[in-house]
Amino acid sequence: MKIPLTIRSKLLMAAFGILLVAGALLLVLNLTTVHDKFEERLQLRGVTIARLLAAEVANSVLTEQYAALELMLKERLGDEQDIEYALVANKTGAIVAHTFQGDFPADLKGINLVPAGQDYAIIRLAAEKESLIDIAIPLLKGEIGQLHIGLSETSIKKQTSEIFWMIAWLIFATMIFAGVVFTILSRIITKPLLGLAKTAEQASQGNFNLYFDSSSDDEIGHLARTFNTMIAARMQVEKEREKLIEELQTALKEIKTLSGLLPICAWCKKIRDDKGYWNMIDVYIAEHSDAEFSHGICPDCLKQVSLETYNRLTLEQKSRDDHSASEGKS
Amino acid sequence: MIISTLCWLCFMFAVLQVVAGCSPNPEQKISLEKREAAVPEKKNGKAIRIAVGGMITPREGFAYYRQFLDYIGEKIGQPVQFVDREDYAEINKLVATGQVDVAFVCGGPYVDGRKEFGMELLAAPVAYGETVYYSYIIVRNDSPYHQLSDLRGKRFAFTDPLSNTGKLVPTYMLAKMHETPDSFFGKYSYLGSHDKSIHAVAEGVVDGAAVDSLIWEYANRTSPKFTSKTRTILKSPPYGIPPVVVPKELSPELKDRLRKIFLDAHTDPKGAEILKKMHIDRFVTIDDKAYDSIREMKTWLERQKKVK
Repeated sequence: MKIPLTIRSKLLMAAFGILLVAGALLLVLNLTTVHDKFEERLQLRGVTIARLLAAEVANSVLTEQYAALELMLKERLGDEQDIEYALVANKTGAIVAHTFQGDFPADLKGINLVPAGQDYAIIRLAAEKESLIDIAIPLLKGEIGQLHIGLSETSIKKQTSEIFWMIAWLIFATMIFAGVVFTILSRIITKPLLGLAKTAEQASQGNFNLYFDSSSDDEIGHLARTFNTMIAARMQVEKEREKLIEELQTALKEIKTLSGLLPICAWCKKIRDDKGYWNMIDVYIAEHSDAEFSHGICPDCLKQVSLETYNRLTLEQKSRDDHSASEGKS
Repeated sequence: MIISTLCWLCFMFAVLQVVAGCSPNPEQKISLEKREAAVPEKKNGKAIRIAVGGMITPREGFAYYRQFLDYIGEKIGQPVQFVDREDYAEINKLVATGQVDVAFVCGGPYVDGRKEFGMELLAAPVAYGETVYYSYIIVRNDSPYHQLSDLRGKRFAFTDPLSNTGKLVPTYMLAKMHETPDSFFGKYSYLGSHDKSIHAVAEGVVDGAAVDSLIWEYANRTSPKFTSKTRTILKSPPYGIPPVVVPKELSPELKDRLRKIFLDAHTDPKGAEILKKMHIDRFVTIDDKAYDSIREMKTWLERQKKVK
């Protein structure tokens, strides 16, 4: 089942990924370039020491003062930690002086001969317990022999190993630190987002009387402000909708009042209400709607009304005249 | 996800360890445990002791002197001990006290030794066709100095207080100008060998130096790294070449045997090969008169000292 990745997980993965890649590069760099540079510097130092020593030992080789030569080699190299040995071979290749206790290792005889015209020669040796670098310097252009010094790679390996583990621990410590920092950072980022999500959930349930409080000026603050504006707009729309519905409901109600079967007098056109009273049609409509009436007389009615009024007025005048005449006679 | 990340980490670590274990250069396997004794020092019992003081080659030619001494040992049937000392005075002392049987000395010390304790001439080399040599006053190529007087107040290098070409001749030249090293040069020092003087001038450590013409020529022909940076502004008159000498007490028989070996060396293939490397044509007998010019020079300088 695929587990959804949270922002925190993504941030942590990104941080760890970057640290691991950077750390791996540093470690590779340490194991290759740094080691090579250390070795190169060690070799240069070895060549310099060997050259100085070669200039110093030449006379002793010429004069065959081998005991004095051996003593000098031991005195000169006694404090040099990286130099495992020094030995002098004469022109025939025989070892005439060396810094080993007692006899010298037979395998060192005849190794690393400097080709003619070269200032020095370097070869790597694999001994029982360690790797060595043998530097050979010709004495008086090789006419009287060669001086060899053996450099131990132990210090280089130790230094490289120390740097390796230092980097490894540094990466580990940085990863822990990054884990803590990114956890806090992700909480800072996700907390308002979670709050916003909760508010949005409430809004989705129809509660628009909401306000998401965020005072930050960052993207999340901007999102919160936009959300608040959206909620406010949504609330306004909702209010207007409710008002409209209310108005429509009122109108509908009114429409329902004037609709249906209305009992009306076929002769006088009065309408009977729910209580059984006969109402003038204009009064009934005025009461059950917003309609208002202005009273006038249409031309047809006017003709009829005028004739009737004339007849009535004529009859009334005749009646009054008749009444006056009777009183006069009396 | 976590498992895959951990797997990736383990893989990366393994790769790094492999990378660390890889070495760009092949290694030669050796054992430091199998031991062997070194060549013992030669016993000095009945060895012929030969001191090399006045050389006609630079230091790099020292090896050829060693080879020539071994050649003498082979011919005489005795081991030869190479005796090396720091300066000419010490070599003269060894000859005077009979601590060496033969010595290669400079012309100046020979004149002193002859006068002081009867040092005897055994033979002398012929180099570049002559049994004479010169003192060269050298300066750097790019320097503005063209004659000895231009070096007034400058830094100068002598070879050895007893050296003929490296001290006596330039001192004599200055004396002729009514000057001494102290009054003429701003600063001067003794560098111990002609090679060092050439090197010092080439590197600008000193402004000028007096050197042996034989050594300058040798260096110029074999490795002109330093001589090519120098220029000769003055060449002295010729003087008797540095000879091979013996103490006057040395047995006539040994003296004759040694002389014969020297004089015949150029006819022997091995001897000739070594002489060629030393830029020596052959060895010849030489008369003490060949060193009269040095002797006169010394006498004149001593007289000047006394006058002052």
